[in-house]
Amino acid sequence: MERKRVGFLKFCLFAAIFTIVARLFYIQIIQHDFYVAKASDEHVHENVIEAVRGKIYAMDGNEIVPIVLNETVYTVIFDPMIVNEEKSKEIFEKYAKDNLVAEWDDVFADKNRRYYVVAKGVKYEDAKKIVDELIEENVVGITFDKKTKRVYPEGQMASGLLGFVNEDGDGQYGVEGSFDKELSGIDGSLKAVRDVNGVVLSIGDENIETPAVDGEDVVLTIDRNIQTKVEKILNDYIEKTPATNASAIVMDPRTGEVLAMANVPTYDPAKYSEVEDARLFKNYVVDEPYEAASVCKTFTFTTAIDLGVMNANTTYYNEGSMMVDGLTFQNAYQGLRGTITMQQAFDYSLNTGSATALKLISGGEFNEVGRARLYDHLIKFGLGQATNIELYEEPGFIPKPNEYDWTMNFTYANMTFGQGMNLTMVQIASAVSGIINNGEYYQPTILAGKMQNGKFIKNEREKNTKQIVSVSTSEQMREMLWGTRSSKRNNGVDKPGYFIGGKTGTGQVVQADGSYSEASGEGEMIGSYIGFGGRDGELPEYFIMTKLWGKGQYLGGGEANQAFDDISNYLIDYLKIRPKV
Amino acid sequence: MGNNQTFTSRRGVNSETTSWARGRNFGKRKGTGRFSYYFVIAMLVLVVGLIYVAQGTKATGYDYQISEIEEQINELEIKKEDLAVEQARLTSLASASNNKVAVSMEDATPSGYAE
Repeated sequence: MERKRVGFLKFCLFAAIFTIVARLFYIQIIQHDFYVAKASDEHVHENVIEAVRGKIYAMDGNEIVPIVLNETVYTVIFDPMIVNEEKSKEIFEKYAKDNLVAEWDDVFADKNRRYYVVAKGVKYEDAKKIVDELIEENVVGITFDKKTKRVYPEGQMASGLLGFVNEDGDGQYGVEGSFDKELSGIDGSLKAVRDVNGVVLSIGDENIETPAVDGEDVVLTIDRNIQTKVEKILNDYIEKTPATNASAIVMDPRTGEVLAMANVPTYDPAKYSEVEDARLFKNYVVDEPYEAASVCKTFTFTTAIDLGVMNANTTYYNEGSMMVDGLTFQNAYQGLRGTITMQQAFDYSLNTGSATALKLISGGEFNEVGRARLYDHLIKFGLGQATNIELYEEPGFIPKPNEYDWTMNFTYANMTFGQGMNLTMVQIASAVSGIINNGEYYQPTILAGKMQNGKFIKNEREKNTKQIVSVSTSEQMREMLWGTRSSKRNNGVDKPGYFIGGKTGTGQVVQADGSYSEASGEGEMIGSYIGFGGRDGELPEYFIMTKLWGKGQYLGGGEANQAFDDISNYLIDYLKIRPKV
Repeated sequence: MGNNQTFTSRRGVNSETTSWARGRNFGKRKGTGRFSYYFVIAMLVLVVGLIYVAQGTKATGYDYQISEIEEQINELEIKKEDLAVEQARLTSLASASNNKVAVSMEDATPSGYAE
């Protein structure tokens, strides 16, 4: 009997041991991968190491100054079920009153809601004080989510140029959009064993760290003093004219560097979500092709001079209008009938003058050869195509010389005074800068360089120049443009000792039905002005283009000219350009 | 050791159950037993294990120190960032244009140039 009991116990013991061994075998061998993965999930955490977005700098004379930086802020999230209502209210009212984004009654109305965003944009110092006090008061259930916010110390300055960064951290519009890849950097990751407090432990062989590559710091050619002044002047003209919008570009024709690119009205990029009209985000200088009207006569006369078929003293008979392909166009100014010089036609912005220049280019009559010659020059000037400035830009449009069967001569005659082709301000600015800079065209740029470890690395550009016209043509065009500003010199607007030239443009607007707006003083018109300045006898040191417009409003080249005057006089002082005595 | 030994002659033929060979020493061998042997091995394993655990704990201690230092670095970087932002704000044109002293100043113009 006893032997049986012992035998039974032995059996039970062996059965138990076998069960345990079998279970262990099942868990440790068969289910090995499953439990390893489960354990790994418990202890090994993978986190994204966010790359720091690059800063944006501008120039202040020769000094480099930050205009877009980063700031660490916190979004505060409550778990209303466990947060102490009274104490938390008191602490947050004390340190983050301006950052609260929710009403307290709403936060604690439904305690089953475990997630409520209570405050946004809480600065580090305030967050630290709050945390210290929460710990002291033993308040739990509050999460601080770290975020990086863009900061704009210059406020709304150059908002149309800079763009903004959205909630997802993506650059939108302007520099933020076009340089998004460089500014963003590459996020890293950290896969590591952590303890209950989240501290990374070096045990285990699963720790993998891929460091983040921070975004590059970009330095723009924009001079913040010039940018601010240009925006102020444009705002003044919006106040004193019917214009609702104004844009301007200031360039150094000797390098192609953009010193200012302004669009007003501006907006606060830090509060981009509050902007109601998305058109404020547009950078009209690069992404709004338009019919720039008479400023384009500069290109027609340049082409004719460069082809050796015309000079400023060439004469023609002005009848006040001209018929081409059975269609008639007129001069805006109906005086000066009879034989006049091309300089006079340029001074009075006569459409018949620029059309006659095309006839001369064509060999006496309007024809396809002349159209092709003009077209080739316009393309050589970089018009109707992207300039490859480091921003998103619209290419615009220039009709090809043989695009349509009939009225093509009329179309090209219109193009000589800026109708029928759409160009952006940056295309016009770059082209005219090249024409007045001894024919040497520089690809426009807003990128001065990059900051690396606190040092400025200049942007070295290759093949960024081309000869678009001869030096002689350039000299003659500078003289013609100087000639058109004689009234400004006579009225004392232009200071003596400086060589300042320019040309107005008063552009009709294509209406919804395809027709042009009224050319009288009542129709909608866009006012433009192109001009340059520098020391008398030397190559121009700056180029300026201004544009004023408003829906349904008449804005002539005259208003844009006045805006140019103000900017030009400011630049002479700011750039310390010495007059020729 | 029993008496049933095999004698093996030089030619390798066994004559007895007890085996004898010329030139060999006989007697009881004294040494560690099987239990002692396993005990020593176990102790060595234990010591190695303790060293491993001690080193692991020591490494974890360093991890906490590293974590604290990293936290301090992050804090200082945020403070540095905040100071850079503050400096940029204070030296910005936007700030200067709102300054009471700056507002009351007149624009400077060059009085002339020496040739």
